[in-house]
Amino acid sequence: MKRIRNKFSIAVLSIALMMAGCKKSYLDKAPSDSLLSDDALSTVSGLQAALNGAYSNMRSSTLFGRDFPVIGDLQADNTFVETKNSGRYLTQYNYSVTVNDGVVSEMWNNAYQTILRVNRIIESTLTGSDVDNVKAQAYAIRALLYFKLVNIYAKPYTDDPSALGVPLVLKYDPFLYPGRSTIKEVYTQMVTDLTTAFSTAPDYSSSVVLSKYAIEGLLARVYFYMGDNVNAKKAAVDVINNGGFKLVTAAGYKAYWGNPAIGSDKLETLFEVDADVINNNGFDDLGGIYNNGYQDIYASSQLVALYNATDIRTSVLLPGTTKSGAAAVLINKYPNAENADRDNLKVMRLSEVYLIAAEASLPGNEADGLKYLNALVAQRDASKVYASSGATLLTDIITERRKELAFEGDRYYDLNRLKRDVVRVANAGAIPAGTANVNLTVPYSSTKRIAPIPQGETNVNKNISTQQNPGY
Amino acid sequence: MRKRALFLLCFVLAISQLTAQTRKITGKVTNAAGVPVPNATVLIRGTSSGTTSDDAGSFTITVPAKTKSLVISSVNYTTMEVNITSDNLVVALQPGTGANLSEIVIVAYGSVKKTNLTGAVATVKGTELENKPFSSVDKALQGSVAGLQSTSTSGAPGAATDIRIRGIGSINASASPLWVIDGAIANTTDLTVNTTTANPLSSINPDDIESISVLKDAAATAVYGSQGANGVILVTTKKGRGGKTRINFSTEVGQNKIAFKNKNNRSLTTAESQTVFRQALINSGSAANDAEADAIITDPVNGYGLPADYLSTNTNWLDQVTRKGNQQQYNLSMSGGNEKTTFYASGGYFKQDGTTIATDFKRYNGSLSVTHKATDWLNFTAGLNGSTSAQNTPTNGGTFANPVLASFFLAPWYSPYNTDGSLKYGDAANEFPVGGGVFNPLVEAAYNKNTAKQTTFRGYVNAEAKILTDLKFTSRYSAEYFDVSEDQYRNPFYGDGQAQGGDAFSAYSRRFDYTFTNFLDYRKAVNKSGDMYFDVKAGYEASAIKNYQLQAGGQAFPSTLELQYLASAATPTTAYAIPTDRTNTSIFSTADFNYKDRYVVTGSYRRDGSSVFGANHRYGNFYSVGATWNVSEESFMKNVNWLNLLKIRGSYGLTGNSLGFGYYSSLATYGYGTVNGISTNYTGLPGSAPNNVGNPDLTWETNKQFDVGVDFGFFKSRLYGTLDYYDRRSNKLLANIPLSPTSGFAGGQLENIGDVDNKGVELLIGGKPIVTKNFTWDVSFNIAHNNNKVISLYSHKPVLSGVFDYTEGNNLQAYFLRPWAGVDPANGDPLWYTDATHKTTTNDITKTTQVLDNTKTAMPKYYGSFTNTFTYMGISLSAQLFYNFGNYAYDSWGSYQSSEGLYLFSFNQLSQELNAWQKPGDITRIPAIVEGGNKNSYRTSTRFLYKGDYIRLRDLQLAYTIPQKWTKKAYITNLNVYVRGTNLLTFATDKNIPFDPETGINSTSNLDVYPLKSVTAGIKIGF
Repeated sequence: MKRIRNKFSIAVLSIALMMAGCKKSYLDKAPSDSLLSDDALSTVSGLQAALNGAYSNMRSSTLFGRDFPVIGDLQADNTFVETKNSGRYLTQYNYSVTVNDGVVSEMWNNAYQTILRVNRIIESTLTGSDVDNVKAQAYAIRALLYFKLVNIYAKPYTDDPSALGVPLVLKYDPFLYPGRSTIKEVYTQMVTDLTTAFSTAPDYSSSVVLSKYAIEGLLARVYFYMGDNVNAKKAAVDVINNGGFKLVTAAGYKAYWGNPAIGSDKLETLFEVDADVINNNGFDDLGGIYNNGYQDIYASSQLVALYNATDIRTSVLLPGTTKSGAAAVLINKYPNAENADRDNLKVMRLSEVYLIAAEASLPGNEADGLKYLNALVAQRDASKVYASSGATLLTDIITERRKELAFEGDRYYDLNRLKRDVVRVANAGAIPAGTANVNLTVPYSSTKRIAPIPQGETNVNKNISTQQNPGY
Repeated sequence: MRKRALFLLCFVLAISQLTAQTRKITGKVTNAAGVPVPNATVLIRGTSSGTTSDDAGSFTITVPAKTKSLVISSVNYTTMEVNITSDNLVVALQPGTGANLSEIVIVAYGSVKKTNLTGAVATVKGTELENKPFSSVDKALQGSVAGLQSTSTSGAPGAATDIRIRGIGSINASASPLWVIDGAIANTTDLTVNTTTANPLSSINPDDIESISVLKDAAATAVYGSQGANGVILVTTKKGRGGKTRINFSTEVGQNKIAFKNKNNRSLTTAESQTVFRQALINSGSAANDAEADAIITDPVNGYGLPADYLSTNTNWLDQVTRKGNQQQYNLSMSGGNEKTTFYASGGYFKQDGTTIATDFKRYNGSLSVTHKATDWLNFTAGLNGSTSAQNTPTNGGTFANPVLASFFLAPWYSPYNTDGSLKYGDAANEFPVGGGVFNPLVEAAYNKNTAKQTTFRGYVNAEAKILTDLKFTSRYSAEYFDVSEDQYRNPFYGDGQAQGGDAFSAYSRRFDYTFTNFLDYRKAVNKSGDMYFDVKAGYEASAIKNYQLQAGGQAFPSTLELQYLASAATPTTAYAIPTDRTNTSIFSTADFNYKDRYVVTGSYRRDGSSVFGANHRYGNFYSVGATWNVSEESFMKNVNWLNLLKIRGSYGLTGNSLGFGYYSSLATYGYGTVNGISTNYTGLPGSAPNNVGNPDLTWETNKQFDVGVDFGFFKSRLYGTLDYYDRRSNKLLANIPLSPTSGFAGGQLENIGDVDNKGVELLIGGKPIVTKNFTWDVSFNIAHNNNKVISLYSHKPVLSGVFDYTEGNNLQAYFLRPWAGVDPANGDPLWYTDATHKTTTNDITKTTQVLDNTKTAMPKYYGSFTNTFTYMGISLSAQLFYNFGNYAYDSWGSYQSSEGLYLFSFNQLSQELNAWQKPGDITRIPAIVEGGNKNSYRTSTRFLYKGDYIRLRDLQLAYTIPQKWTKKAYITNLNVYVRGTNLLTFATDKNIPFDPETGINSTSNLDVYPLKSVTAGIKIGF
């Protein structure tokens, strides 16, 4: 008898066990490193974290972390790639970019990924001054990325504002397949975003946060690229007069570039992207492509020849040789590529604002042009005071821009905006090696002056597949 | 009322059980020559209950008193029915059989007589797996089962192995089979985070395996529901046997070398490099003659700056990074027990040094299993298997620290040592600059470390209660525990760690998973003679996987090689910890109906719920039906003597695939910290970013499989075989639906869209051409052919995946490359066809385009093995040839190694460059070599495809069993010595293939550790 009871109890127990596992919640699992999107954005601190995610994405070596600054000089006439190289940026250097070029697609993808991150902040329904502060930075980041996108993938505004720009994505919708907006629409959106941002932006707290006058500096740059000298100068002068920033002096120049720390003294930097001991690009750090790393790219002889011996900016140019042994000048503007704390990535400096103010003063007000130019040059090369006028003055300003903003990704877009040819002379040790290493001119009219819409986009997005840039 | 009736029924049955009488029989199974036959199946006639003989051939079995006879069977012997004439039987089995008709096969949730199977199931005996020089059992399965493809990308000891059963049925989820060990769902997902290749199955000592069943079709796998779509591999470990305690000891030692080197396509020597340099410089116009070229080669300013005396050094880098590796293993096992309790205990040590420097694997393992008969109606079995292993593995692919990359890429005029014999780096000649370039592999191997240590426990408790005579209840709880710690150290002086002043990374991964299964098995005869019966099982199963991962990194190490752990890092850089888990619940049922073993009909059903799927589609239903007709059991066949087995079977069913899915892919989430591999943190403050679009409709992939097969045996199974045809349609495949990158989700979105079909034929033929009293010759041949076709994809658009472009109507692994047209004999230019028609050629790469070629795929058309075994008295000689035909292997680094001048002074080139075009009229496959490259000849194209056909002497073994009469005095019951060669010979049909033709499922070489061949000698002793 006892045994039978045992058997029954086993059967009952087994059924009970079966039932025990049937609880519905047994199958509800959530990740431990992520929040459901709606929960993540439901508080101000959640928005601030999302904003940090947008800032940090700009540090990517595919954006301000390397691609943006490198190609802005390399596609122009400031730098060259040596023969013994790691294979990076070769297609950019020799104008053989194709629609599936790695750099072309990674810049596109990550710029839009950053735009996604800020769009979700901008769409937040939360209110309050803290929220406005966060949103202002989000608007500014969006404008900053559209500025890079429209200049890399579309013709300059100064050519034809009604030509195709880049797709404007302003809200969160992963299933949107946008076509290209016009260049004018993109610039109008940037002006709107920066104007909105400026009105609610936070005051300056450090160099790595987009504060009020950094945003106005970006606005000056946008107007300037539109050829709207009046508004460009107005914004630039406001930054110079009311921003409270001061130019780095000749005495402080080398230390300024050697310092990887976040600034809090309003010295020179309006905005830079932070790279630190932990959050950095490792081997793919910007400085490593020039020195202390891959060391593939060197300053061109044309550029080096522009500096006087007394010019403090030569302190970041190191005469040496390429890895193959040719005499060359190494670029040391970002000397911390192999140090623990890495160089922050300069996005906007006061020097550029002076140069915008100078150039935007022309042709009407040459006195102001000289004033802002000489104010900067006095801190770079004491032996030099400009007194030129007319076309010469414009040339002088452009040359000073080239010298001041070298290796910061500016030169190529200057040449585009001014519709000038790229004129390179052969550099010893440059690719291609041997007899093929000759002078090269890439006329403004060349279709290779702007990048193709990446194949990854045209394959997926039928609204853009018919809008490829000519020549690709 | 009904309850009381049941109670009464049970009571009566229990009484009848109590009064049942039993009888204990012992015996010994030998062959005709008197040599013990281990692992013979001993069954009570008319039932499936019984035992197996031990290594000395002995068995003990308790049978009902009225039992008249036993059925004894074993592979390679004729099945015998033996009348119980005494309590101590001696059975001499006769050779001459092939297929074993009454063999019992382990299947899902039970076992079944092989002839009653309705599904396609293949078995591999433990004896075929033991004492092989492989670190894991999956490697030993290569060639053993028709339709099971086992291939490795890396030859590193402890490396992963890819297994596919009946083709590739998934694109983005797992296409690997489910492993079930002793009834418990096993995890074969690699847990390492920083190890190039590792294999959780290497935690099992193949010597502890009793048998493996490979379930191939839906009838066999559908009861595993959402995890059964890619086939199931059931592993049964050894259990104890009653009677005298037996001890077995085996040991083997051996040596490894590179399995395959191609003399036709190796790296260039220095002198050959000079020849190529000269051609390049003359062809580019930089030099007019050899003398001018030589000047440019050594000119540091306007030339390439090689040292003036570079010709005096010629390093064979392959020799530098490879070696002879030693290998050894020891296994000790003990088995015994009494009527009520039996046990099996084992311990083993395995060590293998790879042929490539810095590769090795070692494992210690132990296992214990105990079976206890508590009462005549209640059985317990418990087992625990533990192992700890350590593995060193270098990186693969294009990393500068990869020794295989170094063997191909380093210039032969470089030398690994300084003149004083010390290791070279940071040298004045810049051969090994501290900052970059391909590193000196000897420094990397000597100064750095990349170790993975894995500790694994697998345990289970199984209780079986016979509630009624016909009703059995089984409850089983099994669990696995993995603990993997990885430590990487990169020195501060040279290489990857130099820039950071040395760095280290440690990861700890833990996994605990369990399966809890309860089921009832009701087996009832419906006629008096008992040969018409049904068997129904129904049960419930719950399982969960809980993972935990901890990672930490740091840099800035003291200037010594002695301090290699994070404790000595001055600057911490990474800290990361995360748990993840998934759960499954299921109800399942199987039903078999058997009429006189002539007709068998089976069905199975399972309903699964899984936490990884979207809220809208969390549950799914799976089923199968199957039938068998044993024609040879029909009365009208009894007189057909030449045919002893003819069986026709068919099945159809629906299974699912939930393996390889992300645990949380269905949810729309924001990730914190590191998202998509990049930190979102900023200025030391936390950041977040969208990391998943989310898809509440995400659900399993499904598989509809039809199988029809025939099993046959002629002349008392002197000739036997199995032929199967299958059509396996995989639907709702997990696909990455591309979104516009402007959405910020360039990675796309996971959805269930896409169908792939695999149709194929599998044939196994075996036999015994010669059988005499002392000599037998066994032959076994298997072949599988699979035809894979993509049926549908998202919006019918091709999906690009590396060198493949998944396209409807084509093989999933058809190559999508520029069509290479060879070399223009007039000028040595590279030529490509402009399109798929192959009508027009061009030397301008922009005028050609990638073309999908369904005739060139990475999937073999045929593969299988051919095995011969000769046995004379105690001597046996067996040889297994594995073959693989019809695929093409892609050299993913060919662009660098055959660049016609582009990488001439950066990376060493392959010796095929010596065949380059020289003068008009030359017919060659290598374009002219030109400084700076020859018109993009190096760009990816079909020129880097090689035929993947090969035949390999997978196994060659000579063994001798020393006659018992000589060993008896030393109380040795069994003594066996052997010599074995593994992968001794490899024959590749493409004489230019520069790498081992075994290149994994994707047939792509990625500069992985060289596969090895080994020669081992061993001894097995049984007491």
